[in-house]
Amino acid sequence: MNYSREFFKGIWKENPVLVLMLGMCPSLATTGNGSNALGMGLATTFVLACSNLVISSIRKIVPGKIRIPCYIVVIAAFVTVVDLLMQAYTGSLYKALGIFIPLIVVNCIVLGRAEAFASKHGLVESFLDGAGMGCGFTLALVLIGLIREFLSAGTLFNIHIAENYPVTFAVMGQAPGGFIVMGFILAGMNFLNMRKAKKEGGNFVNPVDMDCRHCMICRLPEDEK
Amino acid sequence: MSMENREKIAEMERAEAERLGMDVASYHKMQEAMRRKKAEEEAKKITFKKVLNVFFLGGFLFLVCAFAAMIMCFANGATRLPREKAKKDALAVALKDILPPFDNDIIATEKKVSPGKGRYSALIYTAEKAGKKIAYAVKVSTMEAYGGKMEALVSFSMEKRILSFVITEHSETPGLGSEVAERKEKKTFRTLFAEKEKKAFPYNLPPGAVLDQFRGRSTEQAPWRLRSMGGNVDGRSGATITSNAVTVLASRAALALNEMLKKEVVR
Repeated sequence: MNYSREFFKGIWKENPVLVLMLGMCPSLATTGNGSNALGMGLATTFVLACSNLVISSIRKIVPGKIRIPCYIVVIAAFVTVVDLLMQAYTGSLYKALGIFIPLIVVNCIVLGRAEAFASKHGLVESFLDGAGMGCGFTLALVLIGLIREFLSAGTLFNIHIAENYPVTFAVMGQAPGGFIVMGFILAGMNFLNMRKAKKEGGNFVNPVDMDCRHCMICRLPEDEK
Repeated sequence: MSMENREKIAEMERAEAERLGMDVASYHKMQEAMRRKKAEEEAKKITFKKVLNVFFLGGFLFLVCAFAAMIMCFANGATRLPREKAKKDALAVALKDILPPFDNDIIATEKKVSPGKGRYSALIYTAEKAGKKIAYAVKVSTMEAYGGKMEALVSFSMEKRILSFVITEHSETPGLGSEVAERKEKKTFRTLFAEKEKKAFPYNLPPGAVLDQFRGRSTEQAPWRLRSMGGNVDGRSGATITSNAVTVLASRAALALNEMLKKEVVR
């Protein structure tokens, strides 16, 4: 069992935002600046790792036909409890991350990893998978957030890098800017992967298990058999 | 199945196929289709076992939901008091920021006022120092901001002039409306590690261009209006609705204070 691989695959090879294309809504909506992106990423990482742990521990009790509703209930309950606890005991943290917590319930990365990984693997691997995916999510979000923040306001994490930034490139701070930056990052990632494949003498193809037809969530008809 | 039996069956199939006037392959195909049809009919039938299975699955889901609800109820109950306390602490910190130094239990002085024929209500806190009233703070909210609810704290001197004004809760567009509503220190690399000089009240908070315009205005002039609506408050272009909400909050706070002081005089 290679534990470190379960963790590190989420950062580049199976990055949830840039490769698996999951969680597009928060990764476009909360990346207007670096600090928001970081907040959303950290909150999601925490919930992802813990919900993977819970789901992995109940995976043998839940009947296959109703597992997805069960997972949703578990994740929603978990997020609500975290929300309440944060409100009560960590006031300053809640002020910074509080608005992202309700968004996590509808974040499909959490459900996606529960179904595709945690429901088939043991506790430790599931936890590492969740933590790694969360880190990959955070890194991707912060990257998009910092690029957008710099282009729209000349700041990084609210610190003015370019003093008296001359242009107001406001569109980068809004939804279209998210799509544009995301597109460039994806193109860059494909370019790197293709160059690497060419050096090794071959063409770049997405790994078979990343293919849409192999998505675990779409294989519902198989359960009927 | 023995070899003999298998040969016998093959023989029978061949005879049957011949009787129906088709070759063995298509006979097999027909048999397969019939089998599938039978299975489909089986799937459509409602049997006791299937009904039981539905009840089992439904019951399981119910149990999971009930368990989750129980945990949430428990968490809600267990954190209610700490959450209320956290909210009150946050309010106390905000009050300290917008009022000159005071020494009374300010949250206990809360008073509810509903001016404008009860269209909205405000909470008024009175700051005292050594038994003498020194300032008022008014908490108001509106639902007319760009992102829905916006809540503010406005402090007034005894001469009924605005001392300080902060937005305590809002959900405006980050980078646009939030620039109006939030007070933000402008940080650069040069000032990042430099020691902050502490300014005396009421200049202790970071600047906010729209919010700071209200400083020193008397409640007698309220309600205020944006310049684009014929008033004398400068909004921010691109964030008119947010600027307007801020103006509305300041006006409501001023009117609420007027209302309370009027009542006190009558008494």
